[in-house]
This record gives sequence, C-alpha cells and structure tokens, in this order.
Amino acid sequence: MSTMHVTIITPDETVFSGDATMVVGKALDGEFGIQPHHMPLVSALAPGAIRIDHDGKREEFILPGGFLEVENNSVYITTASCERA
Amino acid sequence: MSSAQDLRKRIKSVTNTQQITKAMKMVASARLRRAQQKAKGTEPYTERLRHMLHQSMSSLDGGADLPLLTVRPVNKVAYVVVGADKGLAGAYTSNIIKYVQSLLKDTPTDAYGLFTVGRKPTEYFTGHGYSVVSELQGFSDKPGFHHAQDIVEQVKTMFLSGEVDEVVLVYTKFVNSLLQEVTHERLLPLSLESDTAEAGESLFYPDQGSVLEQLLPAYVESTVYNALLHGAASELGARMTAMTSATDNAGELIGTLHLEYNKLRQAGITNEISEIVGGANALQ
Repeated sequence: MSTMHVTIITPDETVFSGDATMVVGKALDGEFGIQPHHMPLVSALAPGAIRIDHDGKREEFILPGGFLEVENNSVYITTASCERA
Repeated sequence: MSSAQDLRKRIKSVTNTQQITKAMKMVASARLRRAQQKAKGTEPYTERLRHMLHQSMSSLDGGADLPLLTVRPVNKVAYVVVGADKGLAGAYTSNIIKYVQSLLKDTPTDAYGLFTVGRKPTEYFTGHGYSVVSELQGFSDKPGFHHAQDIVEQVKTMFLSGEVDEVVLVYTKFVNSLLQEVTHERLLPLSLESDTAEAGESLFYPDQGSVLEQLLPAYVESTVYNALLHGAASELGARMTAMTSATDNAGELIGTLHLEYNKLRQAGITNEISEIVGGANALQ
C-alpha cells in the first residue's frame, strides 16, 4: 500500500512525523481528504481535528487552525500548537 | 593601610559575591543551552511557512488586495524593541538602547512610537522622554509563542488602522555565546524577496486569497517569535559572559587581598618577634 510522509510542525517541536495512508482535515470551507501522490496543495485549516491514518490505526490531532501543504508526496501541517486527541 | 580585620571582612564579602556570580553563571549557561535548542527548534516551522508563502506569492496574479503587504508613504514608524527584564547581563541592554537611539536620531517624537518588550528598555525609554506607545514585560528569558501572538496582534491593529505606516523589529541576533548582534528588520508591510525560480502550481483550499490572508499574520508571528527566542538566548549568553568575567575578577581580587593580608600578618609577627628579642636582650 502506498504511503506518504506526514509531519506536524509547531513553533516549539515536531509533534508527529511518519508515513500515513490518508489524512483528513478541515479547511476553512469544509472537510477534505488527502491520499498518497496528491498534487501540490496549500490549504488554510479551520480550528478542529485532523485525522491521520497510519500503521493501521487512526489518530486524531486537535489544532487551533494552521496550514497544510502537500509537496512531493509529503504532507506538512504547520500550526501554532497541537494536541493528540 | 587597612587593618588585618578590615582585610578579612573584605575577603569574606568578595568571596560571597563570587559565589553569587558563580551561581548565576551556571544557571545562565544551563538555560542558554535550552534557549539555543528552542531557537533552533523553531527553524523548521519558519522555513515551512516561508516556503508556503513563496508558493502562494509566486502564483499570485497581483490583483489581490492584501493590507499587510500594502506599502504606504511613511509618516509614523512603530519600533518593536526586544530587550531584557533583568540586568546583570553585561552590555546587552545598553547595546539595544544605543542601537535604537541611532535609529531614532533626528526623528521628531511624533514620527515614531516605541513598543518595548522587557522591563529594562521600557524603564529607560519612558524615563528619558521617548514616546513609548505600548509595553510588555515578564517573559524576556522564557518567551512563549502566545507572547509573539500578543505582540503581533497589537502591532497589526496599529498598522491596519493607519496609526503607523511601518513596523520595525529591533532585536539581538544570537550568533554564539560570545557574540550577539543587535539588528533590525521591517516587520510590516511584509517585504518578500520574490524568487520566481519555483513556479507555484499548487492548488489552494479554499482559495489563494484566504490562504494568504491566514498565512501572512502567521508568518509575521513566527518572525516575532524567532526574534524573541534570539533575544532570550542573547540575554542568557550575555549574562553568562558577564558573570564569568565577574567571577574571574572576584577570584583575582581575592588573590590580591589575601596577599596583602598575609603580608600584614607576617609584618605583625616579625614585629612581635623583634620586640621580644629586644626585650630579652635588654634583660641580660
């Protein structure tokens, strides 16, 4: 199964870094999902949860908004702070 | 010539001072390491935001009207001055003050406003008749991201309301623990060196305008946070250097005082011996 690399970056630390099969987030205008080999994308996230499916499990992170960028099969989520749900 | 008792008192007091400066030095160096790591740790975040900003700017068709990028004729400038809350950090605070003074040279009081961060610069500038419009203090050596957000919120409001036309950030860049440089950069309006090398062909959710609208303040926040962290590391670095030399100086002083004390003591003993010998001789 193909995967993509996902990183969650806050100003103080890297909260998550790993290979995932799917990322589901909420942009300002609604939910969207990202699968491996997505085309380049920049998105502004709405406050709420973001779901990362990796290693056969689903993990949720709560963010106060932020940004999601896709580039070269890597997903970068930058946010002011982040908590594992 | 002071008495032996005076010298003993002096040695004791210098030793006490040395203990204090030594403790401060060790505390500063331990915290400096942490501050350095923190300053380094925020680099990926800033780097990522900058990258995204370039992506979104390079494909911007110029039509969008973004107030944070609008360059206006400059009537009034706000200077955000990042300094320390506490002293005993060598020339750290006075370097910042001197730098701001050189920036403000020949500027009339109504053409600038200072936004001071940290107790030391706040006290100096309010006490010397500068126009300080706002101040924040209490976190100079342990800044958090929310402090940067507070600062940005305030200057953004001032900038967008037209109260000021430019915001300049003055802070101390941490080069290494022996070298810190005061520097300034323009915070608002944001200036982005546009390198069109990578043509952005990204998609934007919801659309480019609203992404940029969120991205620009976030980028400004990360710049300020970076400046705060650099300021904190510089403060601790300066304190460490200052306390190291204070401890060394105290050690030297203790050495000279000991020498003087011993000389005095020996002179006393010699004196007593010659008195006894003289007395014994007189008896014979």
